[in-house]
Amino acid sequence: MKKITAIILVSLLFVLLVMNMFDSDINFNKMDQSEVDGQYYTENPTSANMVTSVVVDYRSFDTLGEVTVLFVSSLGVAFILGGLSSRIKFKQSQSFILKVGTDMLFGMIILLGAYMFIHGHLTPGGGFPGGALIGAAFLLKYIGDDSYRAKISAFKALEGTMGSIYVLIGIIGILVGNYFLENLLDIGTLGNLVSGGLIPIIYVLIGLKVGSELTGIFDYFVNEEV
Amino acid sequence: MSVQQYLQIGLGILMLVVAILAVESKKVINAVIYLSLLSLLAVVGFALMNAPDVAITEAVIGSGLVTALFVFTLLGVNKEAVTEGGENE
Repeated sequence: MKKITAIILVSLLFVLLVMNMFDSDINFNKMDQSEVDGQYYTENPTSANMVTSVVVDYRSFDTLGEVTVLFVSSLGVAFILGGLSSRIKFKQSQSFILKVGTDMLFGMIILLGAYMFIHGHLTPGGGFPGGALIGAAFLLKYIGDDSYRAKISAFKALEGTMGSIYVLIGIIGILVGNYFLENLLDIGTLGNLVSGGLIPIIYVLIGLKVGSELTGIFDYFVNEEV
Repeated sequence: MSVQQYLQIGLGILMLVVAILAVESKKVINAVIYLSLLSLLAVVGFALMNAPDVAITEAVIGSGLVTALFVFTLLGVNKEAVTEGGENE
């Protein structure tokens, strides 16, 4: 059943992409047309943070590629280190102060990461740094407690769901609008928390995906052979 | 030249020195720490060049997560390299 679903999804995506390339009405190369260049980006920003309006709106397809690269690398780590099961024991046992300190910092770093990807369209930062901060918070937990293990199966489910929703939003862009990952929602007033159309939604998805991926990578790295 | 440009040139020279130290150091763990220091200096450089987005990413990835992955790998491969600073041929 899983295989059939995967085959149907992949062939659907393939057909849509080919349609995009050859159909002149639905133009895949719209972003590369001459009227859409650097000047256009600066004059028509879709979010208060102009870097974000380029990275997640105009050039969102490139971001999909970056997210795919991270996904493939996490898959490779899982493939190579997946068989190791026992947790690395550090020679020096963790002191009480280290344990309490990491527990206190954990929540704050998670909060900073969440702030970073929720406010990605307003302030510097975004989905990738925010997700990396969440991964760093879990790394801190791993260092502070010798026996700590994150719930990796839950993170894997989260990662897969977020990635799929991101691609689905892109395909909806093709079906309803003109091109992959078109910003269909109302942009609103620049500078508001709810503005920029799809940008905050995509950044939350990317942030959660990157955070869960990096946590999974760490969980594999702290394992060793029995 | 402005103060900022002098600062950037000094930072670049410091980064070169740290990079050479990382290549030339005998113990692997020292090389990893020098690499982390190099990333930290790169963060200051990015911040001076008004690229806070890149600076945040470099701070988290370059000097935090990558160093941790290197140390974990060293722990898994050769325990003496980290805890006792053993010679690595």
